[in-house]
Amino acid sequence: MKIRVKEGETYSGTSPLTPLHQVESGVTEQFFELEANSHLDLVRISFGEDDFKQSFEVVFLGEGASCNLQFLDLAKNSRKLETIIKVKHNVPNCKSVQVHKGLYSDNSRGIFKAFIEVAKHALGTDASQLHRSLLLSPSARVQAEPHLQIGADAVKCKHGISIGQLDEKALFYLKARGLDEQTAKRFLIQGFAKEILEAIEDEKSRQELEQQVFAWI
Amino acid sequence: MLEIKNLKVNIGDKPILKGLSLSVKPGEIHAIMGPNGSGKSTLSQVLAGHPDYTITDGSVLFKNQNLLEEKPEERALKGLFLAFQYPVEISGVNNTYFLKAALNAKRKSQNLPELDAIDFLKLIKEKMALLKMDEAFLQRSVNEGFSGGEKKRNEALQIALLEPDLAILDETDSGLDIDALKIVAESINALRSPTRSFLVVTHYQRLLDYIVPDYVHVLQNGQITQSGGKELALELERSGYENPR
Repeated sequence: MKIRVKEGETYSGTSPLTPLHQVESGVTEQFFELEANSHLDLVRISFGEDDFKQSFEVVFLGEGASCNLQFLDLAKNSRKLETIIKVKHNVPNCKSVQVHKGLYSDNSRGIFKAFIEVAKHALGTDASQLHRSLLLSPSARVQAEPHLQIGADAVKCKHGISIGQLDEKALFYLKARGLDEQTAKRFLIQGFAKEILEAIEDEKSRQELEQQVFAWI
Repeated sequence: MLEIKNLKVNIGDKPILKGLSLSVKPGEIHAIMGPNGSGKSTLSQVLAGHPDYTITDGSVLFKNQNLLEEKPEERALKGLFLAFQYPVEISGVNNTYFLKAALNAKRKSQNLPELDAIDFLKLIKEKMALLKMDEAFLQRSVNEGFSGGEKKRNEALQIALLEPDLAILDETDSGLDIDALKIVAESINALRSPTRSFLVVTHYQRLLDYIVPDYVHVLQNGQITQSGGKELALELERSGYENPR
């Protein structure tokens, strides 16, 4: 699937609402081309059952364009979930934000590959990439690979990765207020997912997705 | 209310509490004072059920039941509250949502009906007014981005809301300026009752000007080395922990 966002326009793509019973499997690829001063908002939440590979590519074609990509990957049982995000800054003065969060439980496996490519002449680029994962079981695995290819000098590029488990201090705090283990964990997991959910502007879609994500948890 | 006998506690292989005994009756306020590293915070954490500590000897009864076998959440529901020295920031979890869940967990354990959103908001706003807290606190994530003083007020708010039988205040004065300290102390004094007890753990005497204890105990090197009335705190302030009396 290829989408071209015309000059000065905004394209907003919330996750296609994927009900839990609907199979999300195989491979999906999406390409976005952004003309000058256009904007792309993308929120993608994946919580199906089957193995799944999703790939997204954003190419800046004109100056002054921007994108905000927010991803939440949820995997349990033995699901293998791979997400690839590429952002190509081919022209100057564009801004990209990538936030990817993953929740992996049971024997699931997450793979996350993120690419930022800044062309030689793409001065004034502002690109950021953030990945955070929570491993909810000892046998869950995640592999996170940030790739930055920066050809230009006067650019801002930052990236961060953190992979961890539920915060024990926070768990104890919640339990010390009378919440049982399961509720305390659910609170922390919901809190983790919330940042991505809040990026969905449409109130109704957000609430629907929030319910589906919380049901998954 | 609380009966601690010969409590010995390790972190790993290192003994921290070395035979501590303490008896708190309903309605009493006890202050535990001591220098850094004396075991004050360990005592607070152990009473609340923190998993990092190993109890090697002794017993603790809370309301005549063995406290040490209970999970942290069971202790809380039975009426024990620890006001944390360092309240934890929990991002993405709305403060109102958290406070309501905590109150309803407690009400459920008492076989009381849970409060709905409207009744809860009414109640929490009353309690916040008592603490002169801005209602904006309700919209924020639990303790996230709160200043030291705001975190301590949020702890005091939870005491006012959950109305525990025993509240342990672990260094509640740290991070509070004098005005905030007075407000927090007033809210705690307002909760004093013949059936509610407080254990005030503090390095400095300052807090005890506002929350006046019935008894003061000095904790040094994992043991209580001296006990007395409220005047003991003033003596310690003058002479320091090295040479009391």
